Amino acid sequence: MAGAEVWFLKTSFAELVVALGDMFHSILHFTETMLNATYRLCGYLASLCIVTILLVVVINIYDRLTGGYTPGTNEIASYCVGAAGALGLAFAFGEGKHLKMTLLVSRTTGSVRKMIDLSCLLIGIGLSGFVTYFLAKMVYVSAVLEDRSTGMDEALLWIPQAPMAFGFFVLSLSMIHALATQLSGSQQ
Amino acid sequence: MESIASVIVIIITLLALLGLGVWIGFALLGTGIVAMLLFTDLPFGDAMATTIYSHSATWSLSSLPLFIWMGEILFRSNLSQNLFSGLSPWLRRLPGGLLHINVMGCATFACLSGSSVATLATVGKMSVPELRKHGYPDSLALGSLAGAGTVGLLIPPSITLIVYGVTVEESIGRLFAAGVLPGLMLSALFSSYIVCWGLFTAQGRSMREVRASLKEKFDGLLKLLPVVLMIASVVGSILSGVASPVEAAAVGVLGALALSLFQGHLSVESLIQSLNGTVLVTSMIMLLIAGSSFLSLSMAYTGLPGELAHWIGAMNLSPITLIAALTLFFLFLGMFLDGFSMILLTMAVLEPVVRTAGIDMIWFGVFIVLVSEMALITPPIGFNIFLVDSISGAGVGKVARAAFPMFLLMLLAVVLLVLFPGVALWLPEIMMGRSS
Repeated sequence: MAGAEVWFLKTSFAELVVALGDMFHSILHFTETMLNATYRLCGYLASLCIVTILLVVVINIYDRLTGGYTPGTNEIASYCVGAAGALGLAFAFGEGKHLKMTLLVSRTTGSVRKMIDLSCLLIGIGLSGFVTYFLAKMVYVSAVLEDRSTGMDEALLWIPQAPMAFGFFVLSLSMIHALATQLSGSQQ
Repeated sequence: MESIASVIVIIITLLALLGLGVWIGFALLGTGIVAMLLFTDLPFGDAMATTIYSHSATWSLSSLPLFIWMGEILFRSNLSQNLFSGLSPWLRRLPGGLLHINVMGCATFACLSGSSVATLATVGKMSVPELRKHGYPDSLALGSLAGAGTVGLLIPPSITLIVYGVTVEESIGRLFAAGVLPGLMLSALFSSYIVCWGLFTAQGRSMREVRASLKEKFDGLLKLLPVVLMIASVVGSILSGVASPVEAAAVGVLGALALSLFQGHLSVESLIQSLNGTVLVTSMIMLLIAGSSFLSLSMAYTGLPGELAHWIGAMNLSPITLIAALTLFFLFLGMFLDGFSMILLTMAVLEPVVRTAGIDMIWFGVFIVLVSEMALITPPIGFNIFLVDSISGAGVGKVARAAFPMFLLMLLAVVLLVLFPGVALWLPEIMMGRSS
C-alpha cells in the first residue's frame, strides 16, 4: 500500500513538473512573440517618422513656392529623424545591421567564439542600459521642468526626447533577449 | 606622464572593444566613458544623454533618411534595366565597349542614390550578366564595377558626406558641390583605363561592338529621360542653390515614387519594403552617431585632441606630409573599419588637428571620403568586393585582384586632389559666390 501511495505521489509530482514546464514554456513563447512584435512595431513607427519628414519637407517646399509659412516644420523634421533612428535600433539589431569589426572574431570557433559573443552582448547590454537610464532621466527632468523647445514650435521637449529613450530601451531589451536565446541554446 | 598612461588605457580600451567585435557605436561610447572616468571627476551621464539627443534629432540630418529612401525605391524599380539599355547605344562603340556601362551607370545612379552599396547593386544586377553574355573578361567586368561603385559616395547625394558634414558642422550643400568634380574625375580615370584596354590589348581590340542606329540612340535617350529629369531636379537644384539638400531629397523621393508608379512597380508591399530598408540603414548610422558624438564630447573634456594638434603643429610638417601620413593612416584603418565608422571615429580626435593645420574642412571631407572609398575595394573587409562577389559568384580573391588596378587609379585621384585642391573647392566657391 505504502509503495502505491509513493508511486501515486511520484506521478503527480512528475505531472506537476511537466505541467509547470509547459506553462513556463508557453509563457516564454508568449514573451518571445511579444518582444518580436515590439521590435517590428517600433520599426513601423520609425517608418512613419520618415514618411512624416517627407510630408513636412513637402509642406516647406509648397510654402516657399506660394509664399506661405508654416511654423515649426524644421523642428518636426528634426524630431522625426532622431525618433526614426532610435526606434529602428532594435529592428536593425535583429537584422544584424549594426556594424561591428568581425575580422578577428571570425577566426575563432567553438567555445572561444561563444565566450566572445556572450561578452559582446554583456558589454552591449551594459552600455545600452547606461544610455537608456540617462536618456530616460533626461526625459523625466524635461517633463518635470516643462522645458520647451527654443524653436518656433515651442514644443514640450520631453515629447521628442521620449522616443529616443524608448528606442534605446527596446534595443537593450532585444540584446537581453539575444543573450537569453544564446544561453538557452548553449544548454541544449 | 599620468596623461600618457591614461592615453594608453583609452587606446587599449578602444582596440579591445573593437577587436572583440562589440558593435562599433557602442565601442566608441564605451571608450568615451573610460576617457571620462580617467580624466574628470564630474558626473557625465546627463551630458551624454543631451549630446546623443541633440546630435541625432537635428535638422541637418533630416535629408539622410530621405536620400536613403529614394535609393531604396529606385533599387526596387526597373531603373537599372533602363539604365543599361539606354546607355548601351551611346557607349558601346567606344573602345572597351559595354564595360563603360559599369562606369557611366554607376556615375549616373550615384546622382540618385546616397550609398555605394545601392549604386553597385543596382547597376551590377543588370550589367554583370549582360557583360558575361557578350564575352567580356571577368577581370575587367568585375573590377570596373567594384571600382565604379565607389563613386556613389562622392557624387551627391552622398550619405557619407552628410554624416561627415553633421560631424564637423560644415554645410552639406557645399560638401555636395565639392564632391561633384572629384567624383567625375574618378569616373573619367576608370573610363580611360577601359579605353586603354580597348585600344592596346589584343583581346580589347577584338571586342568592338556594332554601331547603334540613330533610332536605337533615340530610344535609348527616351529610356534615360526620367533618370536625367530626376538628376536635374535633385542634384541640379542643390548645385544651383534653388533648393536645400533636404528639399532636394524630398523632391527625389517624390520623383522616385512617381517613376515606380508609372512603371507599375509600386505596391503597398514594395513601399513597406523600401521603408524597412531605409529604417535599417538610418538606425545603423544613428547608433554610430550616438557613439561618436559622445566620444567627441569626452575627447573635448580630456583636451587630448587639442594636445595632439599642438604636438603635430610643433613638428612643423608641411601640409603635404601631413596629408600623406593621414592617407597611410586611413588606408591602414580601412583594413579593419568601414567608411562610416572610420570617419566618425577619427573625426572625434582629428578635427582639431586638421583645423589647426589650416586644411579646408570641405576639401578634407572629399579627401577622407575618397580615401575611405579605397578601403571598399581592398581586402580584407572591402564591402564592394563582397558585393560584387555575391552578384557574380566569382570568388572574393578573384574580385579583389580584378579591382586592384582601380585601387591604383583611386590613389592617383588622391594625388590629383592634393595637387589640385580646386577640383573639390572650385564648385562650392562659385556656388557660395552666387548666393552671397
